[in-house]
Amino acid sequence: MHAELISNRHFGPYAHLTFSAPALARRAKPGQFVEIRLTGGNAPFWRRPFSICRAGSGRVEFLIKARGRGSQLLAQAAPKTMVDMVGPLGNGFTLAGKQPRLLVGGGYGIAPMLFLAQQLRAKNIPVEVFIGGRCGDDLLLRREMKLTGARVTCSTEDGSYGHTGRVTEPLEARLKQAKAPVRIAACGPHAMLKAVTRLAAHYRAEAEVSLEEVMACGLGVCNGCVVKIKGEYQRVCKDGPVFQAKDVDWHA
Amino acid sequence: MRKSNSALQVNVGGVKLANPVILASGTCGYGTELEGWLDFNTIGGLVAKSITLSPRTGNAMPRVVECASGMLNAIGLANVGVEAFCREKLPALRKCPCAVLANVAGSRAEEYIHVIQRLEKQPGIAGLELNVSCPNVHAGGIEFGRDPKVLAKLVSAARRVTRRPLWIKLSPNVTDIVPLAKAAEAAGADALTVANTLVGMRMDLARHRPVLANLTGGLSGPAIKPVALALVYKVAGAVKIPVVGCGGIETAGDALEFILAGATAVQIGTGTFRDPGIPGRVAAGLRTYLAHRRLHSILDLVGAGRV
Repeated sequence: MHAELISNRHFGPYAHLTFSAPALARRAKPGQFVEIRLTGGNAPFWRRPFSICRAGSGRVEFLIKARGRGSQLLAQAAPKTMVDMVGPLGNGFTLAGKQPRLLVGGGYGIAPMLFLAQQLRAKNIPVEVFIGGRCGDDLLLRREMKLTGARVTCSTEDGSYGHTGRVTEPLEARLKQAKAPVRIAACGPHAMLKAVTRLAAHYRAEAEVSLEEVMACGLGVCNGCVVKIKGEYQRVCKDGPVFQAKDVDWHA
Repeated sequence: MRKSNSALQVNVGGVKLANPVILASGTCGYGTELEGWLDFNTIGGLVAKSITLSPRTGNAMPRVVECASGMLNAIGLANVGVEAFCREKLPALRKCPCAVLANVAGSRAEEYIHVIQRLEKQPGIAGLELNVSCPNVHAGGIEFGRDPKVLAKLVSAARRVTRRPLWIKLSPNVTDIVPLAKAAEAAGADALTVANTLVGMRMDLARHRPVLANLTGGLSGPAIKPVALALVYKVAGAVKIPVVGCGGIETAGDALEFILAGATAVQIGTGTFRDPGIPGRVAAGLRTYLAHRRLHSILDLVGAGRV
């Protein structure tokens, strides 16, 4: 389906894009993604998958980082640009259960967490968000997160903002003092997700992670984006992108 | 609803299709994956993902990479195996409003035969396509597609155990495709799919290693269309059985080029990855083209571009 870009806010290598896409906005669930085709031509050849950052009122938002040709093109797109979208795709985060949620986002991995925080807060579930980045410029969606009513803790590796160190350090401190069961949802770099999985196992918390892979089809037909889940290959696009953290084989 | 329009009907070696647009094996899963994204009433048929005797997990990652106007894949025939295919996948495939073909692969001739025998009593399969051209597995495909004598033996053996229409999907990775096409025809094939992917490679500049874990992969997409078209032209001139064109088709114009070269039907593969609306649009475009040219049947165009 076609979608029109309404606004594109840049900050450094990041861009926050809002599209008008009513049908998609109605069906989207936190953790799902959309395959976007930017041009009618052959470069880039594939669509690009992006996590839905927020959806509602006929609009769908994405928070992206310009990395390769595809994401660069999208990050530079001007309002009124028409793109072609396929989605929403994949399975989202678990919304059921009243346990307080700890949402962990590293860099642009925070993107799906805003949508998730919003829907959890709408159900009156307590939400704490742990945002991490290399420096203060990598801490994204702080203001939007606070507006959902979530408690926000920031960490930077260079100490330029918030806690100095990795995002998993304040997460561990929180897990240490947890009196009731909590549930974790995380998205970000591989090493961060691995660390979150280890912490969740140690503190006996349920955890879900959203994985990223290069995708050819995004529809579950090509088997190109597989990861080892409980010893067997599963497709990130169709069986994921959200998986139970304990099921992921991080060494595969 | 299925639009009935006899102008696009074709019969490919005993497989009757409402229109000549078919989804290529390995690009439409077992059908259900594309539900909601592709209307199966708009296409003529689909070829399910290659099935082998036992389940296969496929190659290590990375398995796919983009390149100019195309992509490389080295999935490695990942599939559920023939038992699970019959039990879990066929029931849903039978409900498909288009013709469904099964695609069979194996490491040894006996494996192909066992799979065909297991499928023979299963209803709802319009025909079989033998994959003798997978470039991404060390055993199980291409060695049957390179030597005309080996291919003839396999096709004859398959012919003896199935009454179904039998298509052979040939490899473009050969010096001369014609002896292979003729060998398959003489051994009893009902149609030939021309062709599979071309062997290719990409290097990772950060690691100084090939991108794909399998080192090489199969090139598909518009990048290979002229090559596939030339092969179809060559094969259609050498055999009497129908040829199914396959390679980089994304528009009705692309499909028409293959039909003019001698293809009775076409397969769309990588195009579906890029846009699941492509197969339906190709079929609709063929219909429009016939109407504009005041032609009564697509068959009037099959081979019409040959000189």
